[in-house]
Amino acid sequence: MSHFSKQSFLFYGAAIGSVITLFSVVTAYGESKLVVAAPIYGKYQLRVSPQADCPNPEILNLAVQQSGVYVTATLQPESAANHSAGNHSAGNNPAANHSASPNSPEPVALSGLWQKEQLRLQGQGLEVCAIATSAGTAAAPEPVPLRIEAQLAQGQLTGSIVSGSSDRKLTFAGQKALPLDSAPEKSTPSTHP
Amino acid sequence: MNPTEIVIHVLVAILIVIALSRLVGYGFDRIKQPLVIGEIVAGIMLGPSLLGWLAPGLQAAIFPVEVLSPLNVLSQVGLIFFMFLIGLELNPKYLRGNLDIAILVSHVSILVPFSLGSLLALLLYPLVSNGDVTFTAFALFLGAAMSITAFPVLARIITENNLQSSRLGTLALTCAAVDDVTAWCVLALAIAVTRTNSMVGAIPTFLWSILYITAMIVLGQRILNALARDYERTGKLSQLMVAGIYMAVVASALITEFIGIHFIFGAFLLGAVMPKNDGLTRELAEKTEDFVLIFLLPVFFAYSGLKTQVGLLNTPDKWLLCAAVVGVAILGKYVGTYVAARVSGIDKRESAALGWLMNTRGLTELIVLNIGLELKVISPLLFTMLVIMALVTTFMTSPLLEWVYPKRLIRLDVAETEPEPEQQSPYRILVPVANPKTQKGLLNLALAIAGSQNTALVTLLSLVELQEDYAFASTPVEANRRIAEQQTRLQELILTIDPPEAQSMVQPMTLVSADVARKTAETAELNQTNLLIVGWHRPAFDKNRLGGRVGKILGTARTDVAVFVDRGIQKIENILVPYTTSIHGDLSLELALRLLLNLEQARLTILHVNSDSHPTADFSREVSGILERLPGGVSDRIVQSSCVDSSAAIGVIVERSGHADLTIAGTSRAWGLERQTLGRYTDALANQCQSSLLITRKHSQINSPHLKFALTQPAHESL
Repeated sequence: MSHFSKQSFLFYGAAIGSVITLFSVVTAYGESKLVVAAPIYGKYQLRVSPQADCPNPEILNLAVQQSGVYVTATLQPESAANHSAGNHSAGNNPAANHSASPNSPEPVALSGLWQKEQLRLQGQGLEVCAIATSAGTAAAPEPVPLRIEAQLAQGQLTGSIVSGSSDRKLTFAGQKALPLDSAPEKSTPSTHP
Repeated sequence: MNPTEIVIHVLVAILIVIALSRLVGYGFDRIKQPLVIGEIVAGIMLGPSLLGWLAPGLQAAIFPVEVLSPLNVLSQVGLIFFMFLIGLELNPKYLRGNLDIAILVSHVSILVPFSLGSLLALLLYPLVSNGDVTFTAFALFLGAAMSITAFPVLARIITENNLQSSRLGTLALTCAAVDDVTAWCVLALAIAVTRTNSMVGAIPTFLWSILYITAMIVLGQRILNALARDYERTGKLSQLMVAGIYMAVVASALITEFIGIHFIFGAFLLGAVMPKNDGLTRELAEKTEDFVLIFLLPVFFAYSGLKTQVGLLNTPDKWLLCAAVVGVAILGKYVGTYVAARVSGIDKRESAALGWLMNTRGLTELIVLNIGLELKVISPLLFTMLVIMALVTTFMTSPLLEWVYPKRLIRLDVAETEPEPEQQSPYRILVPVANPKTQKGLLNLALAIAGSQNTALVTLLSLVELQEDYAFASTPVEANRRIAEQQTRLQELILTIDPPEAQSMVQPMTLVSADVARKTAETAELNQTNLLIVGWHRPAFDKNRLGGRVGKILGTARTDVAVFVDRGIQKIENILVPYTTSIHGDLSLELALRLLLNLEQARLTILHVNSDSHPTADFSREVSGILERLPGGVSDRIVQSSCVDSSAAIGVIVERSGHADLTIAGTSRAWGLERQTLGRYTDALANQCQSSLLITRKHSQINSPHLKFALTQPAHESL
């Protein structure tokens, strides 16, 4: 087929026309019908409500990285996060705060979903009250399952952290401290399978 | 951190990046994968996907947050100059032959994955988009990402497979060149739409872009042509000229950034409109590429790797989405290309090969993805999925190409366009020639072994060694130029052969290769070579180790090999064979007898060498059979000398070699043969032998071909 023949012009016209038509239909549908998850990425300072067996919890930092409905996050006491602020790396992992202090708890890597204004995260870490104290423990105990359920309304993140098999539950309220870009220096941990 | 500490950290990071990038790159090169894929993987290894996962503290120490900005600046500068090199490489010479088919195939191979990518966006947008951009921008970008074909990687794969002169190669190169330009245009549109967040808003950017491209083609090219004329006049590229060109690259990059597309387009455009004057382009590329490819590009890979988080794919549903992305990319490109090629009349095998070749996305895709992440069109999770897609599609190209279009078929395909070889050429000798000017002796020996009958064929093999993946010297146009140069040199060597009738027995063959030893062994096998004769010029064999390419050829060749140590051979009248009972010793005797059959004046002395394991060096049954069948005129010229003991053998052989023109010795296990070496005995002989030496190593004992035909032919003198 000669490139400049009538036949080839017809072919290219039809091919490009159908792709443009398809693209127009797809984008029209996408723009009008598809809804993306609201932005939730950023750093949140969570104020945990004291309880009898956890009387003086620290402020917790929750750094959330978002890819649509899929979210990953790290959770750690604010003091530990501040201590490592100058040390954190480009990674998406606990490296960011790894050298915080010898006894400070490791940042807990969490992953989950952000759907219908509900944030659900889970991972493995220290028992929640131990996380909420930057002192941590000298002998690292076995990690326990951690679960965060929260709602975001008017910039306020409210919810609860459930830890261990005993389903010990602490409630929290917090707000966004910093936006968290997807740039590497600010990214948050992912959870390796 | 103070500024000095930051500089120290950046330098340490770069040191590690370059070292790992080279290491992994060469590892991939060893498994016949493009070096660049290894470099990309090295970048990913340094990021959170591996190092950050295994040793987070170490990763934090190597890449503290303060080094990221400097690394980003370096990677962007590297990218700008790399895009300039890609543009520089884009030569109108690629747009030759089958242009109609190529344009059809390349356009369909963009339209199909683009359409499928847009449809895939319907699934991905609500799941993995952060909503920072409109669906239109997201779909446009995803479509563009699916449509990419990496011209530079494809060009290297084609050159490495010696396809650049075949129909498939030229077609693929033309398609990829057209694809490249089209895909960059689509990407520019996607960026403009993303930045303005609407199609209508992108119109001014689009118009400015067209205006700038037109200005570059009309005005820019005129200025650059004046530069090329100046180069032709002076014959050199002065630093002032280079400074001017680099300033133009940066200025052009800045203009396209201000227009609202991206830095890289300006740099690419300037490279593309540069006059493709052979000398100017080569010199400019050579001056630019080393620092860019060795220093800056790995930094880009590392910076990109820091953003790639394989750990984000931590649930089966995310892996399913990733599989969908990879599947759509492969299917779209393959089906689009295959169907268009079939419609254009290309056969099934070539269409399939073209489909896999066009799936190569490599580094170009990575550049596109980084732009997407930077503009927040794609989220970190989608970025990771697309990086995996880029790696998979590039990684699979070489094996799939080999599967649908094996090298033996490539050879047949190329041979179709070459002049018909001799009809009767059952005995084939392959002679790798590095420098045709110094290997007259090697060629004469090969001709003497071949004899002057039409039943033998000597192939002179010259291999043009490929440079690094992206080096300008490895581009198909440059490779073709070097092949033509080398072919001319081989022809000149052939024309020196006396008598002239023997010239018709010699066939020149020039191929491109990234691994000379491997290619030599491969060619010997594909060519059904009976004997591979390799020249060896190093004055001494050190430490019982025949290193370098000759050693590697010995280790990999699946054919009989003879290593020739030329001590200024002028004639072959007296041949000495120190015979040991081994298959290698048999080969030495077979070649000596073949020479005896071909050279009427030659005489052969056989020196039996005993070893501890074999008290008497008797002839093997095969050799005894051959000797019995020799015509009287030949057997009369053989003198069988007394046995020597292994402990005194070297001294005796060296002494006897003083009376010989050529000594032929087999490597021997009894004398310390090790894999890839000739053995202590032959190594020592190579050092001390007073005559020229031919060391033989037999590959297989079965059906030895060296005397099969010679014994049925009349004797001729050929040296």
